[in-house]
Amino acid sequence: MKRTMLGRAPTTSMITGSIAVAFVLEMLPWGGFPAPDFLALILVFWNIFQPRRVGIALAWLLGLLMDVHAGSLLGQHALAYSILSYGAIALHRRLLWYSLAGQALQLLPLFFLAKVIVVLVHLFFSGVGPIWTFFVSPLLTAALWLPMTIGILNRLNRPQSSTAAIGR
Amino acid sequence: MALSQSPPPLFKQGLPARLRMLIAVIAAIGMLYSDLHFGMLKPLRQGLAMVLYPIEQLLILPRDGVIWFSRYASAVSDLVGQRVTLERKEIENSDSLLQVEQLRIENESLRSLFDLRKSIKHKTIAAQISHETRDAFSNRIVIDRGSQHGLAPGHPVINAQGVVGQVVRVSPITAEVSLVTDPSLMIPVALPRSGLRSLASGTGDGQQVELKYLNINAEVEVGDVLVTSGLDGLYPSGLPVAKINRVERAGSGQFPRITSTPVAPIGTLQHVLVILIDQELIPPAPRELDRPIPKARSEMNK
Repeated sequence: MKRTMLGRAPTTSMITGSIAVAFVLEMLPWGGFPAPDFLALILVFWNIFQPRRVGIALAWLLGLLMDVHAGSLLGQHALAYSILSYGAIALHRRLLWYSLAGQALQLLPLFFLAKVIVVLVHLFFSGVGPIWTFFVSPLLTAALWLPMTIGILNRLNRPQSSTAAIGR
Repeated sequence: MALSQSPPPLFKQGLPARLRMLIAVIAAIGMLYSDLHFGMLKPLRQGLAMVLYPIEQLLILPRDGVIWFSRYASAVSDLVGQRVTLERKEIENSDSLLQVEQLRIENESLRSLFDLRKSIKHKTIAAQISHETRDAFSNRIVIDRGSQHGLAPGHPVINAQGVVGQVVRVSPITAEVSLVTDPSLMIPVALPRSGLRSLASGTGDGQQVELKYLNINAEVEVGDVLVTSGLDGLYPSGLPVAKINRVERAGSGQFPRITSTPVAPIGTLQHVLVILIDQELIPPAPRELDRPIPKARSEMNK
């Protein structure tokens, strides 16, 4: 089986850009719709492919921003994202040997865990349980792994005319 | 770049990932506690909210545009029909408005006769609902007025139909409002038909309001309207909150399960009215920021 690989190292602006796009998607007025967690998705992606550049600290900071936006307690998403990020980094060597669908399946429990942490923190501090639609979101997030990974890999594996550094 | 490549990742540099995660987790939990109990992070949250605000506003622009356009493009016949109904309503209302004014004067003079404290008339401020918060289990909306306009946590929010909710968190230019369907919000209510008093709070499904701790024999029927009792000193008394839609009689040792639907439907871009209560009237802030009136619950359990 072939290992999923990046053709070349992504530029810093590409990483920041993709995270910014994810954050914007996250901030769209979704209302009550169980939208996929775009930020968790892109975080896990870079955690897996660039674990040394995108790590737990960044996940924590982005989680804090999410807390402010979502109006939840400060630290709720920061906690969930840092554990998510750790899980992704711990998985990253093994995961790349799976097919894309296999990867999505392996990541599903991770996304689910991140959601459950948010729910548990909420339950612990305010005694209010979740509604079932809340758990649809991790499914959608995992499903988005395929198109996103294909998209980014296509971009990075395409031959480039400029003299950008060739990583790995 | 190729020459100065770092050594193979056989031995990792820096802190191991496990340690990093531990630090992040401890920091996050510390943050949760300080946010809940000490309120030290208010400036941080407000600062970040101010940074996010323009982006949020920019992102809801297209949606607002669609709504605005669909309103603009509504047919003339619709508008004429709306105007006719509004005119009819105005005539109907003018009659009762005059009566209310008379009653108010009469009430005031009676109160002065009896040496009672004058009922307070509060200042109000109109606001527009901008969006719902992303947090799926708290039923909250964000409105476009904040502490700059005089809003503070605790202020009731109403619209033409009745009670919408209560302000729970403010930033300089926006405020978060807990809806009546939020399980963490409790409103003291009365049933005008039977004269009962109770507490209403959300069931958690975002649709309904539950009546808590009512007597088994309570005379409650489907269709009864819940109005604010005004006992908490926050909500003016007599505002409609919800209409009872289901009554489940209780077995022995249980409270009856009574659910109702809120009278004030919430949609985006609707206008609401925030009642600016005098700060002295607002009870001291509860220990937990996220539970607007947690005291009521514990008192009722005793």
